[in-house]
Amino acid sequence: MNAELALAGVLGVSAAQALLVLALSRPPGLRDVVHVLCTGLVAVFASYLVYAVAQGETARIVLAQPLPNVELAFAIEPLGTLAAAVLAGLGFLHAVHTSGMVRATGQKAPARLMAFSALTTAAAMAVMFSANLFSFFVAYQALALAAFPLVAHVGDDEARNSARTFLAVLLGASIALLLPAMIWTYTLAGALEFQTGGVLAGRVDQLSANILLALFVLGIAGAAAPPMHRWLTVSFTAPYPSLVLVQGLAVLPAAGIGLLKVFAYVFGSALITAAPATQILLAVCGVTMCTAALIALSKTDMRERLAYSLWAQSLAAIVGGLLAAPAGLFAAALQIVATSCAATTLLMAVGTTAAVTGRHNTLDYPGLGRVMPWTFAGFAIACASLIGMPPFSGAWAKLWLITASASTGVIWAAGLVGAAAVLTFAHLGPLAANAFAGRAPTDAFKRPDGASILLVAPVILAAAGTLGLLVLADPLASFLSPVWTPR
Amino acid sequence: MSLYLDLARAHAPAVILGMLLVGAALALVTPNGRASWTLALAAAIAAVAMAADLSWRFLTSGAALAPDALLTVDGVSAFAAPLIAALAAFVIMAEGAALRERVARTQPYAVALHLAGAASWIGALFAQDLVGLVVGVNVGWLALTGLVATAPERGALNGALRMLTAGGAAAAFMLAGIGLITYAAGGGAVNAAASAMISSPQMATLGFVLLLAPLMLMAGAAPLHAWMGAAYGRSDATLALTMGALASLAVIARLAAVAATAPAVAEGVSVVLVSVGIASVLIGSVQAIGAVNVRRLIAYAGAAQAGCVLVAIALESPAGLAAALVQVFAWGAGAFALFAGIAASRDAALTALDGLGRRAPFAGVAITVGALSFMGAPLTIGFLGRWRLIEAGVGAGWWWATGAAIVTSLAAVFYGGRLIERIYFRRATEAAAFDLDVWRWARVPVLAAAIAAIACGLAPSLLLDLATRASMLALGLGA
Amino acid sequence: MPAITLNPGFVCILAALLTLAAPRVARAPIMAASAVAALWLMLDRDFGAAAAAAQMGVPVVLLDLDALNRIFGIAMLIALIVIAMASSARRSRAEDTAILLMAGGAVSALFVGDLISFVGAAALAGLASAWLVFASPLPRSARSGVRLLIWQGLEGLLFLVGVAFHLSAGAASSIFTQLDATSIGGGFIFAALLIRAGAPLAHVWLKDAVAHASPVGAAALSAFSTMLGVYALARLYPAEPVLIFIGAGMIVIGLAYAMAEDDLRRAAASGLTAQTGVCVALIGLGSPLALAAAEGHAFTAIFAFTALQLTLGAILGRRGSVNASDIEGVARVMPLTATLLLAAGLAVAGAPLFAAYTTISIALEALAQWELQWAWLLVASVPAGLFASLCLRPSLAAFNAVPQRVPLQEAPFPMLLGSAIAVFFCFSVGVAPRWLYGLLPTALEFAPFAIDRMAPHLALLGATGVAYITLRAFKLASVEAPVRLRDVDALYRGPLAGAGRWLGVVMLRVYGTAQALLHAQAVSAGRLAMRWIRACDQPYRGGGALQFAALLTVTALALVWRYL
Repeated sequence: MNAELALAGVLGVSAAQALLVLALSRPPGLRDVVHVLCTGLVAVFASYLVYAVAQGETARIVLAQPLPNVELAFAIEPLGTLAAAVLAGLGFLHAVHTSGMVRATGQKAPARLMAFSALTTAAAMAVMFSANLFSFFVAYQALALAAFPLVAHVGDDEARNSARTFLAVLLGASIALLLPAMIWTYTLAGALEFQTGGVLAGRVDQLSANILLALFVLGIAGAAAPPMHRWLTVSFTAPYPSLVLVQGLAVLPAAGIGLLKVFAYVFGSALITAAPATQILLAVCGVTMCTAALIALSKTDMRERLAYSLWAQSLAAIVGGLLAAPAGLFAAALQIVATSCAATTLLMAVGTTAAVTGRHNTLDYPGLGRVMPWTFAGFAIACASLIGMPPFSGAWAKLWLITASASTGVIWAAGLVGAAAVLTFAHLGPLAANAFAGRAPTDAFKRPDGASILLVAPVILAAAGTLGLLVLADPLASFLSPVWTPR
Repeated sequence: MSLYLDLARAHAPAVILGMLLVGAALALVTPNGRASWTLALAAAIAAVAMAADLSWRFLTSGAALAPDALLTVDGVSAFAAPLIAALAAFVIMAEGAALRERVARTQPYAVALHLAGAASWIGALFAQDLVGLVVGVNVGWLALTGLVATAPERGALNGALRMLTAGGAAAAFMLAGIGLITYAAGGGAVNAAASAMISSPQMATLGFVLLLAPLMLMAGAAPLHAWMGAAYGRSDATLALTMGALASLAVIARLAAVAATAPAVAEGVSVVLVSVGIASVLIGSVQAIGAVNVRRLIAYAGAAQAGCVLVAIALESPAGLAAALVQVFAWGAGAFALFAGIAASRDAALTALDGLGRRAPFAGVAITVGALSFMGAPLTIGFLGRWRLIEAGVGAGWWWATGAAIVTSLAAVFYGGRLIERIYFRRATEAAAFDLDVWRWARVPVLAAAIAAIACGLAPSLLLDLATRASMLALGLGA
Repeated sequence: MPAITLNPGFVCILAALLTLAAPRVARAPIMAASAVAALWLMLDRDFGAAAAAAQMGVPVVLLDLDALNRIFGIAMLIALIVIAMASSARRSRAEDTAILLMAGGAVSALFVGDLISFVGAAALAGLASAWLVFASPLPRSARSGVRLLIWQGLEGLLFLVGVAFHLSAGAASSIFTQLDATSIGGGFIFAALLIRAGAPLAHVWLKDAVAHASPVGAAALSAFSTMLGVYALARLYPAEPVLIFIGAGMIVIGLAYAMAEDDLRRAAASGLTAQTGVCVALIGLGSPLALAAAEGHAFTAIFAFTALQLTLGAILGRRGSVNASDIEGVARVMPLTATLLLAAGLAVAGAPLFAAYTTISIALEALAQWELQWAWLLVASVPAGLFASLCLRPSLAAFNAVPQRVPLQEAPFPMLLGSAIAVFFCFSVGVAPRWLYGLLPTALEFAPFAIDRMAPHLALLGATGVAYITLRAFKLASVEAPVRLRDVDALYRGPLAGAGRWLGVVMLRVYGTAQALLHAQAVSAGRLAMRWIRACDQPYRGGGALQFAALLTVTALALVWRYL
């Protein structure tokens, strides 16, 4: 096994998985086994790639060359590989959870759901491993298109409207804003390759840098910078398995990593020349972060609350990236990785609860932790990580965010991050605490045998992953350092 | 043998025209519809071969025609002629599927009209002087009018009448324009304006405007496209009409390239093209979003595409002209995929497309690919055209070019998305009207070719290279 | 990491994970064994820091042993052994695990050498204390747990922000150094530590938590929570002048509530606040003698209050409440417990022959050296106040004679044993303090039993006792009644919470209305746009006039362009 084979495997196995799941959809057990095994294989490949990057290897796969100097190419580099490995590992757990969920809820057309989940994963991996802006653009659009049927899966009018909004915002922003930004970059720099230090460094004047930055941040609507966040706040009508993918495992983190790659490899040191735009975007994102956490407090549907909460977390990552410092980039990367761990755990736990008890309103949650202790243990750990309570991994991400803000002189951004953490605690903390503290409901379970192991084990393992980041934080820092310092 | 081949090559444009016209005549006199169709197809394919050979030799090795050749070749016509000829061949091929819907007596006439129209448009591209160009354009327009008029549906007559009226006005304006240009440039050749000392630039500009405006009408640029709705909506000659629109755009490109090299008129022509182009993009996109008849939808989408092409031509730079040529290619492929695909459903209403993905999968794929190309989805040829346009626009500082491309793409996402949603995400509302007509398969090569052309977006280096060379030659900048 | 130096606290954390799976009979031995193992690990090492590992590019020291944290560590670990003994009296897996986690977190925090690890361990201990309150069987403990969680969460976030600002000054500065309370980072960490220690305005969480925790849980909270804050203040902010005033405030508030509270466990917690205030004031003083006094006093306070809470908890477990108004005649039912209550009260108050006396005399000496008379007076009044409220008040009530005969129902043996051992420890250190003085960072030659020290103290205690009994006899002292005392938390649980809720409702209404308005406008605008767009597809409408006009415009434009 060499790095190129692993890279091809990561991209190709998911695509093949979609076809296989559709072809082998009967009997259901076979379909689930195929789904889980393929995601496991992807996770194995992705972890091999982490090892390869740590050894300093490179690999590049070119699929097409539409223009001179522009290729549809995929390559391995620390930032994308790290995120891909984490997401692939979580994806394996999610696949197990999906098998449990489709049985527990009697989901319609499960093979189609799994097939599009596989395609979404493939597109997300493509985004992580994109070697230049053009490949990122193609993969990002493929991601939006692949996730669209997931949001529309339920098939009723509400789902269809949400799915249309989802696609309209993502595709519309990418065509109207990201495409011209990409072509403008091409005319300025002559190439679209991702380069350490920034392909635009030294080649762009201040006005162009400002406009380009705004175009990129708003064009990559998947990172949910306001006002391009609408897709996230309407996507909560999706069924639970796809919700995990859309919000936790594929669309939101992949777009976030893509935006970080733009900051690191396209702008690089040119980010400092984009001065007024970075400050304005920082202010907008920072204030919206607090507002989102506040709005989450008012939502009683668990899925809506989590959507707004995850929006706030994603904005925190953007704030880190906009600080134009290596520490900020590291903080943002850590934030995205930690958020996806926590988000996946939370969404899976909420899905398990809804499947087994039929409850998804926050007013119905008190006391459930006593009848479903393992699920809610994972829920509580993930909440703590999302809030930023030490010693969970989200805390270290927030720590570095505040440190980076303070060291670059933007103290008010540090204050906003802290305020957002307090507000996140307000809308998640008492929820998790009351789940355990309240009186156990007597009529909780819809099914007499409670939650199956398929539904609970992934939640626990994902929560353990959240804890694992604590141990791995230092190797991560040295692993990611080539992102801002060429080897 | 090779002597005859060399002679033919030296007079290639005339030979191409001859093939097409002789084929038309033969098809006309053949009483059996199918036989005349076969003859016409053979003639068209021969013409395509000849045109491709001419184009390749001219663009890559700079071969010249004989000095006394009847017609002339320049960059734009070298790129566009094989394209038009190929489109004509595909049109005739697809016509084979719809032939039996016509009255038996009119079938040879329809076939002959196809060939004659193609010949006229190609003749306009190869014309040496302006009169020849105008004659070619108008005869081609008349042929198209005839095709629309002889369509099986009676409602097409309204469209034909509109086309006739517009054609009459167009001829008048174009002749007036010729007069003005000949007076101002002191010669009647197509490229007279490029080399002459223009005594009165206002007159020359007016002449060019009068020449270009009818051509823009024929290309379907809004707001000069009032004929389009009736003609496309009720007739089945949609493919032929598209071919005509593309041909008229190629003629516009040719004339604009000439104007670009004449400083006196360059700016005026550029302004005209840009304003009509932007208006066309906006109006066409809005109309496409609101269309309920799927043929009209594609026609209005074509108007938006035409607007982009006009903006690209207006740049009057090698990059702009090359972008225009690539976009013409992309539009042709996309429109053909769409029209040939929707021919699989009988009704022209949007609701008739529901569930087409299951009823006719190949057609569904073709429509999807065509819609993606119009949207400018990456890895399609349409994306490449948009990219080249934006790149040329950014290079010249023309932000409205970027805006035009983006508006077209965004609107295309809207209506293309609607098409795709209907095809794949809805259940069929009408019974599958599958006829056991084997001639239905005549459309398959058309669909396949269109899909392949769109897939050129994966490895378009040859196409881009040819387009660049063509634009350089057309602007007189050498190979 | 090739040679992993095990922080003693990690042993307790690992034992906590074991306890989750262990059967009931094994849990108490596991707790005790982990405490012993940790003690051995600690005492086996020499002073000094372990090699600094790197965490995210910042050096992290997992183990840094010196005299300051050794003394706290000994106290906490021996307290853990005592609590382990008492915990075998009841079965509660969650509580045992929570106690071990809390102790483990606190002890780990004692021994780490840098801020990042300290924050992690302290936060872990805080979360475990909230879990401890959640696991309590008393009514309404869940809400109290949530309140504690909010306090701990706030503290954790303040820590985080403070460390982040501190780090932004330079990566190497994560290792423990003296911090400046006026800088942003130092200020946030200072605020967090004040919350943990129970400074005025934040003193309410301890009372609330202790009142709702189980008997053993209350003892654990007393031992492990606030003293960690005292240690950190001594480590990071020695000689910070404002601490003297904060400590004074804690003393005043603590004494006032200790005397007035009816729930004796709450009163004991307030007493702990008062004694902690003494430590804090001494840290603020900052001289070597004062620091030594603070550390020694914290040591003795841990044991004294553990003993008191265990005893009170034993009474609670048997009688259902331990209010001063309900405790009449307990000595009849539980004679041993009542005796231990008296002894623990004496220990807490710092009567001579008990450990607290030896350390408070050093404290008074340190204060006298600096001529802070008011502080000296305050600290001198602490033993008197605590003697009256925590020794005399409960003992007089307990040993009061009741008319009818009641059956003997002693507290469970493990609790008695634990309490007795703690009291005995206080007594033995009180009688022979040289061992304790040897543990202090500063070499100390101090004679606590010198007559000129002991006599005034005894006189003070005696006078207090006489005055109290006299007041009681003449019915001038307030009658023990189950009053509910109000404190700062009444402010934020009552009016502030109500105002917050009102504000939230108003904001929600505004937001909802704005959303609905925007939505309605968007829908109507969309409908209008679609209607207009559909009207554009009119193929049979005449377009001649428009085309002509367009042609004219274009021509005009082309002709006059060069003049524009």
